[in-house]
Amino acid sequence: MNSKILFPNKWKLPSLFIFILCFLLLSAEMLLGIDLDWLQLEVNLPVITDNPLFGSRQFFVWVERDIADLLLLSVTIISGVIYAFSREKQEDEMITSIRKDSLIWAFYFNYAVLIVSIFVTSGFDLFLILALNIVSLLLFFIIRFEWQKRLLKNALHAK
Amino acid sequence: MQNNLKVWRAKFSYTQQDLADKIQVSRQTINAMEKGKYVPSTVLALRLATIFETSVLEIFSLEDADWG
Repeated sequence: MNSKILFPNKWKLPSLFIFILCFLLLSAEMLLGIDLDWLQLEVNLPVITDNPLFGSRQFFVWVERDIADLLLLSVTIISGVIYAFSREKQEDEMITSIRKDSLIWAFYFNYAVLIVSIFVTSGFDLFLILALNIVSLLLFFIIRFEWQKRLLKNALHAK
Repeated sequence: MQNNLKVWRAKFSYTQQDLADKIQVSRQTINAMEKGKYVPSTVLALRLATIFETSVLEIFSLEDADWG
């Protein structure tokens, strides 16, 4: 992978910290029902489409939305992407190869899990799975990549 | 693909780290190449040949399996 399209190595650790924090908060919100309403971050935002539970679909309207969730999700995705695609201390061609393999593997695994999940879950849990799918690709990629790097490091020490 | 990287490294008395520094890769990459777990790119193979003042074919050779 062309290292010019990767983020600097010094961003890796701060982005990991932010990603873990946001991911835990997001998981607590989705799985334990903890909400961020108390932040009272309701603002009017322009949207392309609005399809409320009671009412008909409208286009290009202003809608009052709680942006706490939107901000949390955005920061989770951005920090996750930065962590996943930050340069290693020594970003050589083997790391690039592992990175590419991990990306393909994560893509396959993510969609395999999604296909199985849509058959074995229904109702609100299906919605939960679809929501988790927003970050699962990133998570699978990070886990696979870190695991492969660890294997390499262990192989060095096992000499 | 087979290689005798370890022999060439011993000939020049280089440690894995020495060689890694010379061709600008990590020590893990040298280790993986020596164990045959990673096949380097043409550029890396040429860098190795340059460092060892030889040709790529003296370091790397094809196996039957490489012909599909």
